[in-house]
Amino acid sequence: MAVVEFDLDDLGRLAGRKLKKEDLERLEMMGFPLERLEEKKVSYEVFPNRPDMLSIEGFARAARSFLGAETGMGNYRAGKSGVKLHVDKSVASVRPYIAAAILKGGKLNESALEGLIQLQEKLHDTFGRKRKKVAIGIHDMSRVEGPFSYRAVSRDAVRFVPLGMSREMTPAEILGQHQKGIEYSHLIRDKVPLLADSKGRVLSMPPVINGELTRLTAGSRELLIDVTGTQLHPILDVLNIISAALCDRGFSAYSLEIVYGRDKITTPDLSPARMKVDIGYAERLLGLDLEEKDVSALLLKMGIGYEKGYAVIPPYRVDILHQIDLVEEMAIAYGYMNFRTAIPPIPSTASRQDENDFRLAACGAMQGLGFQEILSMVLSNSESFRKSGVDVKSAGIKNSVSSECTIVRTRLLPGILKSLAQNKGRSYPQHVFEAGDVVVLDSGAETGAREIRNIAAAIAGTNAGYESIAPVLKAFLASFGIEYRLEELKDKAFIEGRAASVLVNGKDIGSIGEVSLEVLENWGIEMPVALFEISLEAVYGILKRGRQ
Amino acid sequence: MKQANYRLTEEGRSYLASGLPEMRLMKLLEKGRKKVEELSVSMEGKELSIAMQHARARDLISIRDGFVEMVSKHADFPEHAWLKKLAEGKGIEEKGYGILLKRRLIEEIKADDYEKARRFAGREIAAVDSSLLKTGLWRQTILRPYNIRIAGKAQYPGRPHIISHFMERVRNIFLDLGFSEASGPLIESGFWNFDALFQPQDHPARDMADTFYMAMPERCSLPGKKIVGKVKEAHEKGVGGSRGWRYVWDEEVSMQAVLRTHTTAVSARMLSKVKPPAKVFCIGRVFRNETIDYKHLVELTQIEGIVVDENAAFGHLLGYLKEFYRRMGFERIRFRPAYFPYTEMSVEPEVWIPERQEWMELGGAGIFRPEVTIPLGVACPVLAFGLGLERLVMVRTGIKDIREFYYRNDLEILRNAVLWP
Repeated sequence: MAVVEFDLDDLGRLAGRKLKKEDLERLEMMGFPLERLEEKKVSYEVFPNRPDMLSIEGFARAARSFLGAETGMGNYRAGKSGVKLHVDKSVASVRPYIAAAILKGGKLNESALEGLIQLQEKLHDTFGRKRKKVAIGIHDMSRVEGPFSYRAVSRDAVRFVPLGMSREMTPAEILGQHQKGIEYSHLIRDKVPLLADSKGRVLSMPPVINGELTRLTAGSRELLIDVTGTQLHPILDVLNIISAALCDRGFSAYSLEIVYGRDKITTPDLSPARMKVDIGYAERLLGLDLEEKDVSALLLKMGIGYEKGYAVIPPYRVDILHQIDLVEEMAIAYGYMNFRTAIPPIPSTASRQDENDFRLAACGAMQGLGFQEILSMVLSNSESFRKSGVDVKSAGIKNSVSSECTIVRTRLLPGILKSLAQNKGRSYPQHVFEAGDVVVLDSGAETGAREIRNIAAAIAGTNAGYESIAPVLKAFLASFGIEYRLEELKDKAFIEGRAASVLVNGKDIGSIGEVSLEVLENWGIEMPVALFEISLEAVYGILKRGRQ
Repeated sequence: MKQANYRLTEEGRSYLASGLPEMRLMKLLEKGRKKVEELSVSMEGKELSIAMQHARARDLISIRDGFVEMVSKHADFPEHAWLKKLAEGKGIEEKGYGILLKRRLIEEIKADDYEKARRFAGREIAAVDSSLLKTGLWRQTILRPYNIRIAGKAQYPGRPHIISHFMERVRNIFLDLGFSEASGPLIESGFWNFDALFQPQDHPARDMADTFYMAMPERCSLPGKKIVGKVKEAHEKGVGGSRGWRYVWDEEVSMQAVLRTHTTAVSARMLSKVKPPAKVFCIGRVFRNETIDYKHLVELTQIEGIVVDENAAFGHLLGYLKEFYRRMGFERIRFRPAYFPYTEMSVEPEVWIPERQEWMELGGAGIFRPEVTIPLGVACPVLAFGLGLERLVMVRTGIKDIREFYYRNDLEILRNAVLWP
């Protein structure tokens, strides 16, 4: 999630009024949580659906209408520059799409330049998926001239001075030595895409780096923006967002003709989109009575126009996919806190899941026997299972950031032992139990795995032993009328001769025993431990079958 | 000596206190004959019959025409005197033992109880031995006063885990509100966790909840072709008037197995099954691939619910949220606009925490987008919410470090947690 920081003076200038603390707090109700407010700076969180709000210009524009300084939408248009950009088919398999715009006639001061760079970075990080999906180059156009070309070349085909360097380098050298080159080299496979001017001067090597030649400064008066990417729509969206921001700074936008072989597109297209508004639909969802003029006023407050049944959507509003998005705009303009709340009269009969009620009954039985419930993580690691003498044949995780969470537990036992190990300093005896889901692999299941609910109980303390846990199992199962048989069990987790399988109607539902001293030592537990773990699901199944 | 080897039974002690039944009967007849019904007003039925039996055996009364009449006026009742003597620890004449034993007014004391009790007699004692009560010799002891201000050794009853306790309270709230309980798998397909919820396959939204991808099982199977096809269409070009996300949707990506990042996956599954009107909830574990610290856990409990109804509107969603938090003890709630790819309106409810003098965000809610509901076969509005449990429990219990849940199981905290209100 992106947090953007704005200069308060600059924001106030662009928003058309000095912003007081109350104003800044009110903007939260537009859907942007206020992260930090300092004397000269303010930070907001911007959700990924509103990349236009990553720019101070876009934010100010929205604040301007939301706070009522000036409602409605700005009028953006792009004149024709007559400049062409030829896209060579060599980029098709490298980075196929490019769009560009020329911005002239404005002035960038230091804070505007800073803002523009923040916008570029934030767009790269969020919407652009760290430049993979969308990458932006902003150039001082005075040193180059069109028509421009976009093509893919081999890694040592050209030499140019990359941004921040003083010598010419080949793409291969940049990718191997330049800091940005190294950082983004994973986005380049074989050939490198290049944007060059009519004289072959390199403007940029997307998505890695620009050339030093077109370095942007506060004095730049004529800008060329290139946006490249893997898909067409996202790059057009980004180009519109940046173009609109610069228009708010007093620049005028001019389009280029992007020539893809026989196809041509003209970018940027800053004309608004239109979407039909069904007022009845909005009324039903919002529970409000709305006249056309209400719809128009609400939309205008959100910077969206309204004309004869249609919403007029400015070119940077890339988040409006369906009229439901317009309904939300109306709701935000109306104010979430102004809605009358109610519990609707919807007839229904509630139903409980028996399995959860049974879990509760099982927990009640264990609590009655004096056991404290614990809840452990469902995720574990092989090490915990190995330490517990339990074989691991479990669901495994591919990309965990933590070595503690690499598998999904198949037993509760390791979690119980981990808890006992962590409670060495607490008074003994310790009587604990856990009733929870474990996951077993099951190739027949839709997801390839299946949950089983188990229950495990342990006694730790000087007198913990088979003779103290066995009556607990008996009392627990007796409270559900379950008869069982214990049969000698050899299991690494338990002391030999002090462990048993628990059998009900000949079916193995779990095990009971004194935990092996090696296992206790592995965990650093210095008290004897006796425990059982059985399938609660099996117990429930037996009860359910008995009832039928 | 024989006397001390017997003690009064409960019946014996009662007769000693209020007189033998026949004694009391004679007293009632002193002023003339009485009908049986009249007598039964003054004496309990069982006692009256004991009294009549003994009085007749000794020819003290006669019964004629339903009247009971005293025949002999001056009777003595040695049994009462014997009971008194025995109670005082004195001996009685030999035949008295037989009579009292037969009437079960006395019983024999076991010799060893007597032996044992005698050792305490005449002493100041702390613990009360059962032999003292069996022999009555407690009368000859002095019970030492205790320091009544001391609670004694700590007791650890079997208790529910803090989270279980609150899960159950939440569960009951939604059952009371008429919701039906649902559940779903912990290992989930990308399809149900993301795609069915209109989360694009290549979009920051899919990164929003940092996801655990499974190595084993690596792939899940998908639901029927119809749903899959509709979801694909919703993503690529939109359904129900939407323009969609405009990219090429990849079935393979949706088959990836993940640990569910939200129980909204369960809601998506339920949506494909329910018939409106319906209200469904689910409380379950969700997973975030994060580094564990005092504010972050990789496993959290989510409270999920949907309301599927033709007339459901935004104010109803806010109404349910308000009601839920009110029942959990949070009186002030506010609603902030938010963003989730699968809802529109999207809202983040916040409750006022008086102890901290601040608003706390507890989850997300909204109305499912048509791009979510239409492919799953639902045409009417669906209110949806996914709320966090742990932060709420932390406020209620004063626990400051989220690792106390699932990660640590500190018995000091679990044994001493205050679970109410």
